[in-house]
Amino acid sequence: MLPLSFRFRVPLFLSLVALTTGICIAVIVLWHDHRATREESAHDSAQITQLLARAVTADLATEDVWNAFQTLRSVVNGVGWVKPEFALVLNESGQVWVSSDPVRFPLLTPPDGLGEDRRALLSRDWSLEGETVSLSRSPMDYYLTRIHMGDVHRGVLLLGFDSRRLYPRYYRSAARVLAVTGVILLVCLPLGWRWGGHLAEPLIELENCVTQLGEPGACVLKDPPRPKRHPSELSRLRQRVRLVAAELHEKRSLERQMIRSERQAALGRLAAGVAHEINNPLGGMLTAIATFRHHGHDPAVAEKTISLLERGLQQIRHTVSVLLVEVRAEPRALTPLDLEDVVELVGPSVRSRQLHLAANLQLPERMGLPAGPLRQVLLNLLLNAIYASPPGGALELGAFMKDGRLDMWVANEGESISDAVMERLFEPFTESRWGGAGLGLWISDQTLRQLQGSLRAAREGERTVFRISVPCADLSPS
Amino acid sequence: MKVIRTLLLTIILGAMVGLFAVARAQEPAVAPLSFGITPVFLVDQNPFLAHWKDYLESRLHRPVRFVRRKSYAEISDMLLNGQLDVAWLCSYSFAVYSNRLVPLATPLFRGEPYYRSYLIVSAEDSAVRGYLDLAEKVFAYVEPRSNTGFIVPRETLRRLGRDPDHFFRTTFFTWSHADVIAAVADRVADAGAVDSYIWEILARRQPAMAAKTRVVEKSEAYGFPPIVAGPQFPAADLGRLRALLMNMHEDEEGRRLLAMVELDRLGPVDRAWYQNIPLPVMPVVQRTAPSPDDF
Repeated sequence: MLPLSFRFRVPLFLSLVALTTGICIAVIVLWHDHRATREESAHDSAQITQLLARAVTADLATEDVWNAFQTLRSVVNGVGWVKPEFALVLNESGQVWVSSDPVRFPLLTPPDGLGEDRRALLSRDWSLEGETVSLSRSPMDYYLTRIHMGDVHRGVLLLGFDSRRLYPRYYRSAARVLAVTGVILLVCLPLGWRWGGHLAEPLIELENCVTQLGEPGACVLKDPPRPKRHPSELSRLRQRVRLVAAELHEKRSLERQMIRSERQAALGRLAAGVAHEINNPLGGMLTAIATFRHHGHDPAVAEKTISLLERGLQQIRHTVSVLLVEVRAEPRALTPLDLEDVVELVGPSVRSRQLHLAANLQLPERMGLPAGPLRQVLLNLLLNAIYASPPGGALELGAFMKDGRLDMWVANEGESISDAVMERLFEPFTESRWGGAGLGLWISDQTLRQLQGSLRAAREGERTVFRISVPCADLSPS
Repeated sequence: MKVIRTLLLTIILGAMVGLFAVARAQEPAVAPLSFGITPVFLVDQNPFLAHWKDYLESRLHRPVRFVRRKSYAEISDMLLNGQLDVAWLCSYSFAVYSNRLVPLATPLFRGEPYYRSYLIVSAEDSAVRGYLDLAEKVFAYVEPRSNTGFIVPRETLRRLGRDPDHFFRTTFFTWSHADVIAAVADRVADAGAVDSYIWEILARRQPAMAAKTRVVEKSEAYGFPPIVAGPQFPAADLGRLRALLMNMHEDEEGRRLLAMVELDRLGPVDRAWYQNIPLPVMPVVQRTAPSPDDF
């Protein structure tokens, strides 16, 4: 079956139905007409034979050949389509007494003009009153009747009809029926085509709409001008699709909102760590300044103090700049430096819980991936790992390029995740043991999906491992 | 008022009817002239009789009624017993009853008071040269009392030594000359015998049909069918009628009428012209005056 659009299939189907119906009816009408014509013709021919027999009986008795001839001639030349080819009267001896065609059937001769049909016709029993004879191989239909006066058999009247005489009538009939059918089809087919198109239109519109559901700028189904009292299935369907589209639109904007707020929440968490990171050198720096006040004039102390201050401030600046990058979230390509930044960012949290983070990063300079989303994902996973680890535990971070894909993993020791939680791990609002909103993993999963990547969680031995795999856009070797 | 009006109307109407009856009663009742017409004539294709009726009526001052019958026998019987005053008879009937019939006029056709019997066959038949070539064929006669259409062909065969009742395969009557020509043209009959006058007229007026036939043999001349009066026709009217007929060609309307039937004029009758008509063989000598008992 050709994969035809509904726009063509529906009208085509309707047209086919109209055509088939038209043809069927035409055929039936023609067949019926044919039957009726045949019956009518047979009846009329039999009647003519009977009437003619009565007309020539008197002539036969008085041997009035000429009068009988004129009667036969007038019937053969008669009007209408029930016209015999010839008519002849045979006398008791089987010779032609008179015929409408004296050249073919001369008077007082055997009816040799009948040709091959002669034997078949004349071998019959003449006790039958009126008889129709249709010989199989002959194109003629014969009608025979006895002529008798009282009980005395005087002769036989034979009429020969050409069975093809009805053909012109059949053809005329057929032409008429076909013409009418043609005209009707000529009207119905375009109408059917239009109506089919009309039916298919809303379906096609609906299909286009559904395909684009959820995407920005999706089609907006037009409201009907007036609400119908008894809406059809199609109207109800349109109503439903409109509702679904609205809901989906709302859901998408909700998602975007959630991602933003989660990001901000993550930033908030980060801030705590960063504040701690800034706080560390601050204490030392203030102590150095106090020391300087006490021993201010000693140049050795001044030098030591200044360099300590310098180092401390540089560290603060570095920390702040890393944080600033995160906050700004400019669209920028991912570099190995970004991963180092993230490691740095989580440093305070790692140290405060006495964990040990081992990073194994083997990445090229250019990866063709956006920095912002991936930093956020990595940050989220590391923070999760940190909070899931028992004190003194070991964390592992790995990242490398393989076959045009960026593979990263974060592993931590500690309590394994139960199967029930595992099933619903990447769903929003899952239970988190460390008091988060429960959106982190869901957002990470969504983010990676948008980059055509994947996020998997697994239990490997004593460790819980989260694996990221993202295809890189830029594969050309730099 | 109403009663008086009704009464007045009745009186007036009654008077009118009465006057009418009286007027009618005072008119002398004139008997129409009954005129018999035989198949010697192409009566069907001719408004001639309607015009001739008016012509005769205006000159005779009496109504004229044409009577048509299918056979010569009927007409001659009616004439003989007074049902018809006059008739246009076939020559044979005149010859048979000539002692009882009063001849009025004989038409002249192509300058002659004669006509002949034509033996005709189909134009497609080129083999037949005469009667003897027609053995075992189908022959069409006009009717049993027709001179040229029955009597003459049979007499001809007898003179050739053949028996007319067994010479042909079969014969039939068409009861009109025109139909004999039609029968031969349609090849119902192989041959037929017709009046030359009719054949010549048809050759001109229906050339298509006449062209399907061919004249093989022409007989000797016989007197043209005459107009005769019956034995009971009043002698007083005879002269007037005869004069009228003889003088038809003298006035324009008469000439026009004669031209319709292609006759030159109506002339006097000479019994000698009808002497050669073959009458049935009789023991009595005088051929010109047979008696009807001979039949």
